[in-house]
Amino acid sequence: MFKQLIIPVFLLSTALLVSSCGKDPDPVNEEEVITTLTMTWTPQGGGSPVVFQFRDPDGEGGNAPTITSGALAANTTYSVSLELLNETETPAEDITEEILDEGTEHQFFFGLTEGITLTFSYADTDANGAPIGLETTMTTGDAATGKLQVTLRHEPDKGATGVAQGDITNAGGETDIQVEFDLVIQ
Amino acid sequence: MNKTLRVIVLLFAGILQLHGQCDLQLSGTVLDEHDLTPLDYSTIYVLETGQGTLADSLGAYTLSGLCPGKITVVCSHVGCDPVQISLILNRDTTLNFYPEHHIEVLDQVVTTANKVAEAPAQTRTDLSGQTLERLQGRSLAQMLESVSGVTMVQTGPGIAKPMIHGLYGNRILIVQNDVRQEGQQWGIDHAPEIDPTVAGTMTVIKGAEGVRYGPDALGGVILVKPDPLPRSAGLTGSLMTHLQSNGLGGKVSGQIQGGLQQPGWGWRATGSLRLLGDQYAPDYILSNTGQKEWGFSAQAGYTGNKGTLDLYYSLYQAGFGILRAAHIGNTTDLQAAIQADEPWIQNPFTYEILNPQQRVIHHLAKVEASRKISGMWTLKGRYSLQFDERKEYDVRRGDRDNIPALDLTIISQQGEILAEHRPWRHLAGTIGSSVQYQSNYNVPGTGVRPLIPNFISTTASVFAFERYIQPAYELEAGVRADYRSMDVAKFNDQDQLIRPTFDWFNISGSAGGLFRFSPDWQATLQVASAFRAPGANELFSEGLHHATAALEIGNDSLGIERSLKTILTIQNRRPGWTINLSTYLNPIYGFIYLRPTGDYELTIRGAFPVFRYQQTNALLAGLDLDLTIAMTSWLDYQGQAALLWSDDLQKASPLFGMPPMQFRHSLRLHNQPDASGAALSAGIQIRQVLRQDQSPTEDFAPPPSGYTLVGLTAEWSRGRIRINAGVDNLLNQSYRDYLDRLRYFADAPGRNYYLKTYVHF
Repeated sequence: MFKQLIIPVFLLSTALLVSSCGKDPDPVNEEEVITTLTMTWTPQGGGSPVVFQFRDPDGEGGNAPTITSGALAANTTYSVSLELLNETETPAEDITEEILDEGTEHQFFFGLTEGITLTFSYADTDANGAPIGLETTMTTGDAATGKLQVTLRHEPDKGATGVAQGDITNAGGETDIQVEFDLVIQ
Repeated sequence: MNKTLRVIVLLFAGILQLHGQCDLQLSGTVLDEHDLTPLDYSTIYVLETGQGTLADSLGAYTLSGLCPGKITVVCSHVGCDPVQISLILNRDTTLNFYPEHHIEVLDQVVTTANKVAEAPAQTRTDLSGQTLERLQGRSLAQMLESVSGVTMVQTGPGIAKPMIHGLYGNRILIVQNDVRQEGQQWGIDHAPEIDPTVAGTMTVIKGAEGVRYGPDALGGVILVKPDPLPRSAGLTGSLMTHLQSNGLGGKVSGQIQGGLQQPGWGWRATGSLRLLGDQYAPDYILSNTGQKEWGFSAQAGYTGNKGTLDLYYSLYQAGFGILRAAHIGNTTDLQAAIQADEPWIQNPFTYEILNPQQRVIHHLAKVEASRKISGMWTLKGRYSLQFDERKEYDVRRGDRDNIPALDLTIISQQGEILAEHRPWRHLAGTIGSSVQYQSNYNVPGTGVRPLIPNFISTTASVFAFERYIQPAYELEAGVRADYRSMDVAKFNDQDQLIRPTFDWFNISGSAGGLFRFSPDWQATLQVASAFRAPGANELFSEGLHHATAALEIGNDSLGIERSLKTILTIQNRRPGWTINLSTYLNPIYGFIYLRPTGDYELTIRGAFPVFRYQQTNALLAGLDLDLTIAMTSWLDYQGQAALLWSDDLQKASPLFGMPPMQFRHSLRLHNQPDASGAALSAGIQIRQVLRQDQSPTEDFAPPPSGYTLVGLTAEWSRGRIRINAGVDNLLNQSYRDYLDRLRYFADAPGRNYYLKTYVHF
């Protein structure tokens, strides 16, 4: 009697579990991935823009990213804008919007290697009047070559000393983007 | 007069011995000193002649063929002090033994025996009774840490996993009421999903008991077992409260149990709630380290001469905050955190748990029945169902804070059939078979590629172990065959569904013995093998591990891991003095670990070091020392030392994350309970952990300095009430523990005052 009951119950419960979990899963779209950072330098005095780009369309792992940059003119002021995309989705998702919406939680920082002169100022503000860095104004110095590092911090302390001026030292937060471009000023 | 009588009796006995025949019989029962329950399978032997026998499962024994005269009879039960009684035998005699079962010498850990001395060759430590009660209020791993050779792997103050002789996670096994606990135990930050309140006894088995408990027991086994159910009518229970200053919270737990009118039937229910807010290091707050845990269990059963029935259900739910400052984006952040003096996020104290956080639910249900099918054989069957849900929430962009980044459900079913036979010509043993069916499922909607894939895993096993029992020694041997398969459903780089399958087969064995050299000295020796199939994380991980800013790549060509652990324990026990020395050697073939490849992979967050799961041969060796001395009638000392050496035999370097050398000392002053039954005691505990000098060079930060912590306790008890107060980390020492994964980010918690009360009714 017992045996007759146990076996069907065991089989039934097993069957239920298999049928609920054994069906094919659906592929997951990585929602938070940023695959592409495009930095567009538009000379304020007119002229064609220069585009820097970091692109890793398959996200972390897989194929290596491609990084391209162009030459900037010496002693020139540029309006610089940043655009972020998630290209693992089709059509590509515009992450720039998301950063802008959560402006108080994000800030871009720009770092340079020694021997290169590039002054910058933030040209946008978040809801609290603190900078975000999607829009900046950059002025090149004399001809030189080096590296430009673009960093996006999530949840930085925007009130800390120097942070509003673009000094990353006291910013804290965690890094969402950290990309290095070859910088040529000629 | 008295003397004269004794001489006469002796003379008379001597004459009888000369002339009498050796056909006298000594019989009786062996009962627990405290509750008079039978102690089964005790050995009873005559010291002078070596004649011996074994008590049956109800504690009854008969020694026959004895010669008249003065004899010394020794009764021993594993873990108990042997009882020795001298008598003059001149006719058939009844003699009952009452060995003391629970030996509560000191404040902390005391080795005692399980009621069923099922495995004489095991090196095991039981925490039960008052010893266990004093530890309640802490996490499971913190409770077990009081056993020498057991440490814990932590992720901040809240999340801790027990580690036995350097191994943890899916290299040790946790067994809840005879059911293998199955959750997501592979994760270093996944604490065991058990409410410690359910335990009547917690046992640490330090041997590789793969034969008895199945795969994964490479380092040892932890048994969490409720007390036996009441067998007669009457209601009893207990209530405990624990309050602590660090984290401003505590735990309330209680249990109630009773028997039914029909003899043999009993039930129990337990419940607990544990709540802590953010904890404090000596110099700063550890923001987002709050925790909430609650548990419930219900059990009912029958125990009779013919058979038993056990119905058991337990529920555990928990939420853990993870130190906010430990959430980092890349290696630059990690370096900055390591160099910073303080965590970069410090918020006001709160009980609220924010992201990153974990939420866990674990259900376990079991039905077990046994029946005596003959005088010789007992048949036992067991079925269990476990449902484990784990949701992990990360700091995310957009409105995704309420969407888990990891959402896993694992359902496990186990069935087991055992046939146990009573001693027959000094042989007692068990044969059995078990099946486990497990399905792991990623709940869709996380928006994050799953860390481990969906899979269905089946394990089928057959095993047998026998022991040979003699008064002066017991031998044990066992063998087991396990087959495990895993069917995986996952997506490859091109988002195509693939279904790899894996099969593993392994035979493990164990042999050992217990040797009683004299009433004071005994030794156990065990050589046991265990194996572990690679876990889903080791086979398939592919992505960024945010806590360590490393890319971890799985390896689907990994084979199984095998260990062969030899453990020798020597014990000397005499009034006022117990010393226990265990030494072990544990070679592990095919030890799976994350090896830095030396490559860096460039991503939009910067370059990340790439780690790949690899196999090597490893060797662990060490010793545990436990010493208990009653120095005077009012002062006790207890000492512990644990040492471990590790070696990656292929690289000739130590293994990562092995516990450093540590020592514990405790002194306890106590009065003799006065006429009213009031007992008072006070003690000091010193715990010393040395710096881990055996650490591989590839670490994000060098091993932290060693540290010494001082604690104080005081206890008053009278009758059913006990009050215990104390302080941990009395000197408010700032320190970081090598086995704490958050040592890169923050100090460990500072001073903590606590107050506990227990009421039994």
